[in-house]
Amino acid sequence: MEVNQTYFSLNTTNSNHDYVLSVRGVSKFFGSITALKEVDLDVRKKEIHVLLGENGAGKTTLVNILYGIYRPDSGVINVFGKDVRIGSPRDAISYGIVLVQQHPMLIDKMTVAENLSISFRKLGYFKSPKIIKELIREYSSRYGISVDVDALVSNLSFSEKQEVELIRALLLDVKLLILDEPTTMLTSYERRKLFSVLRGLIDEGRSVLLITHKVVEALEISDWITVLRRGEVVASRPKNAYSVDELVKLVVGESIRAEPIVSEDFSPGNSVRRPEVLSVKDLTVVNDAGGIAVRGVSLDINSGEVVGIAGVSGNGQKELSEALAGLRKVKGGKILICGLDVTNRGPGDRVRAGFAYIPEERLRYGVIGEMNVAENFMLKNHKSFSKYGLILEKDVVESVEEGIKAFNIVTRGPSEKVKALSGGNIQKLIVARELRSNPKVILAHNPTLGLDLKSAVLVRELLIKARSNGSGILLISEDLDEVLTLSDRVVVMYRGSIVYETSRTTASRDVLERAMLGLVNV
Amino acid sequence: MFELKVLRRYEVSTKLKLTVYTLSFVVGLSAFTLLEVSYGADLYEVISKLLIKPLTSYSDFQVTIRYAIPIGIMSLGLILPYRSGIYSIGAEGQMAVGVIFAAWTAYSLIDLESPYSIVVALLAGTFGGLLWGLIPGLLKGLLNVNEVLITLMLNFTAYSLTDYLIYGPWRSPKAYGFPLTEPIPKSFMMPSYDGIHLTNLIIFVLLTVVMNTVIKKTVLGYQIRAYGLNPTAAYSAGISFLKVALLCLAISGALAGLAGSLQLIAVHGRLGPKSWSVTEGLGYTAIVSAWLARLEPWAVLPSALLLGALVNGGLTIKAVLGQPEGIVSIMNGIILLSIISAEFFINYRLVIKVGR
Ligand SMILES: Nc1ncnc2c1ncn2[C@@H]1O[C@H](COP(=O)(O)OP(=O)(O)OP(=O)(O)O)[C@@H](O)[C@H]1O
Ligand SMILES: [Mg+2]
Repeated sequence: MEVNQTYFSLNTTNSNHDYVLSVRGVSKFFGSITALKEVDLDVRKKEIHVLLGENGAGKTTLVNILYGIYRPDSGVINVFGKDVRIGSPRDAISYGIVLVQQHPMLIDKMTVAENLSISFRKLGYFKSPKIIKELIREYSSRYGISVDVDALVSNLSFSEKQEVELIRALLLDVKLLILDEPTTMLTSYERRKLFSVLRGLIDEGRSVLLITHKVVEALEISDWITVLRRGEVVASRPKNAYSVDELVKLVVGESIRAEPIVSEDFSPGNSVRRPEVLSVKDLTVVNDAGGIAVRGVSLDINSGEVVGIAGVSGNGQKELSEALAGLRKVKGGKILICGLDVTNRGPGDRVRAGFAYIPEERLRYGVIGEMNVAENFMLKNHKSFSKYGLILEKDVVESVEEGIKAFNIVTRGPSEKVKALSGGNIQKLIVARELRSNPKVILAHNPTLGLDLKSAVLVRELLIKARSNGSGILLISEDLDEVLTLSDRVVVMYRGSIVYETSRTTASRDVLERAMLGLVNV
Repeated sequence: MFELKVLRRYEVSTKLKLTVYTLSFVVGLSAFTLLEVSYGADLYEVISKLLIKPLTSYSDFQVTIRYAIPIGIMSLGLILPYRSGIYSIGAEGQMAVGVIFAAWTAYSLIDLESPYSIVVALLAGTFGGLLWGLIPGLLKGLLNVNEVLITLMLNFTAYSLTDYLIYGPWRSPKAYGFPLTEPIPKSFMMPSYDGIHLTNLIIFVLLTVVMNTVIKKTVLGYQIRAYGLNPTAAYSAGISFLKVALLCLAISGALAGLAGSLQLIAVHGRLGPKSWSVTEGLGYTAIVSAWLARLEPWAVLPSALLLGALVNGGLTIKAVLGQPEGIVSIMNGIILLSIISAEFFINYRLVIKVGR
């Protein structure tokens, strides 16, 4: 450690002053797991630096260290030519480093202005709400961000929340902005907008460290790419020094199939009439603010069929899926699962009727972070793992271990706490659990969001397998390609209504895209 | 320049947790001792009477055990709702209703022979506590009413019910005008061995094992923990909140009722008002004991013993040093406060900067 330090400080003194951040030999262990091993990273001034890697590669861990959330077990962090100890987010902010986490850290019940003024109070300098509002307005117009300062955060879309976080970073005069997977929940339009904002920041002399697992995206936005695999840096070069194929290989460590295998009988309208498993009739749902989010939606899904709902996020998908899952009251209309009316009943009745749910907000609805992998695995059907009210631990562990293998979940084992898993692995765990019981209906909301290519392909294959086994699947996804690869029928949701419907064979990407923007009349 | 910073800890080791907990308990105890000293008591005497004698002198230890048993049984019950995120403070009232039910069987089944009489009395008391727990259970499970308010109010209702009985229909004419009931029949009294109620102790230890299994190994325990750790996910997984709320509060009520009836038939033998009451505020002490045990059933054994000693010592201090009536409640409050604030120091780090 001692030796390392002197060696590297020698190294950094004669390095040029353009380095905003220079990390040397950072390692981090979680018990027996090595999350990061001797990681080096240099971020230059006016650079968009992409940190690329698969699920569980250690990306989040590394930026959490840079933001003072975790302490490194070894290594040196140098900011603007000075070795620093980042003990807390507050320290990080004082060095000009701000992290925008994967899930926006805002208080839902407060307005945008109130949320932002908290950051100031935390830092010890109090500004009056009026000044803050002025500042926010000025910043948002300067960077082309349009947020309503008086809006309640709970009424904002994901991308708007992200913009609030960006403004917060700017108000804190960020020098190095770190974004952890900022694009996973964004539509392509929103993503382009974000990238142009980032370009603006660079022009002002700031730097950006952006995390992603998408190779294409890395090539699109970055100046420099560092590839992280299983906690180790496997390459770090300017963007132009990579070819696409090479980059993919570096990330994955092997070449992989990009498209899910589509089974033979994958053609809609087979002569056999399959039974209807989910029927939604004239459904109307209101959002938290009391406005109508879903208007008169009707859908029928048969066994062995995938219906995809395409649409730009914020057009009622969230409310629709919550209503279907029994987590939100329905204002009008009916929901039937295999003929059973479950309209305003709780999730329990749905689960018993054979309903599986892969939620968008995984940490909130999908898992219990403080419980371990095994306990989360049996969350839906723990009763089937029990006898006389006692849980049969051996059966659970056996079945979890099977699941871990089949779904390629990276974990230390059944007794690891789920909150220690990487985002992608949490999703694989949920999918493994939901598909295990051969459900009649599967509601999958953005099921591959945040997953790396390999895991996304795996999840899609599993959904198709479930379809062949007779499950009826309702897929709500912002990823049009995903909807097109998986669905037998595609419908488009716009402003709470279904505005367009087509079958997979006749679907035209162009028309669908226009329908998503409300440019097609039914 | 003086600056105080509160920083979140993201990684917390077990060692740190343990240290903070122990320290917080010691701090709470010291604060109470200081309070006593400021009342004019002698420091050494307070410590010795409060903590040392109740645990070391045999005759005092018998009394300590006598308190530890009901405190422990009720703590075991309270762990269920606490683990599910329901904050019941109703053990005191449930205990009181248990006492009434047990006494009622004793008065009305005078001819029943021991040991059936004892079993019947205990079952009746348990059932009484269960009923008193079902009320907040239903209100919470069906309507999501605030359980803290309901259970607190039901405690006072149970007190009033007791008062009605001891000043009214059950008042003994032979008690020289005191509002006491008749002693319950001999056949209903639990025998003791050398001042220690072995049966009660065995029941307590067995219940510890049972509750440990319930929490850790059963479907119910799993569902309870799921609700406590992420209610939204537990609900979306289809676990019934009504079932969890109802069972948690009913079982914790039942155990409080059992503790009450044990106290009645083993220790008190009759009902009385305020400081002669069977419950003696132990239902509140049980809350402290449950949290001190960090909601771990097996840890209730030592924590109940410790609080039994403190209640015992507190009462001695009250009598010998002439302290005010509420002294034991004050002690409970201070200790509870300090172990709850330990949670803060476990999750946050204070950094003090002096000078520039
Ligand atoms: N608090 C923790 N305790 C134990 N292990 C952890 C903890 N945080 C992360 N890990 C482990 O460290 C490894 C790296 O996780 P990390 O979250 O950094 O991955 P990631 O690259 O961000 O992946 P993703 O794209 O899925 O978010 C994983 O194996 C994970 O299980
Ligand atoms: Mg991550």
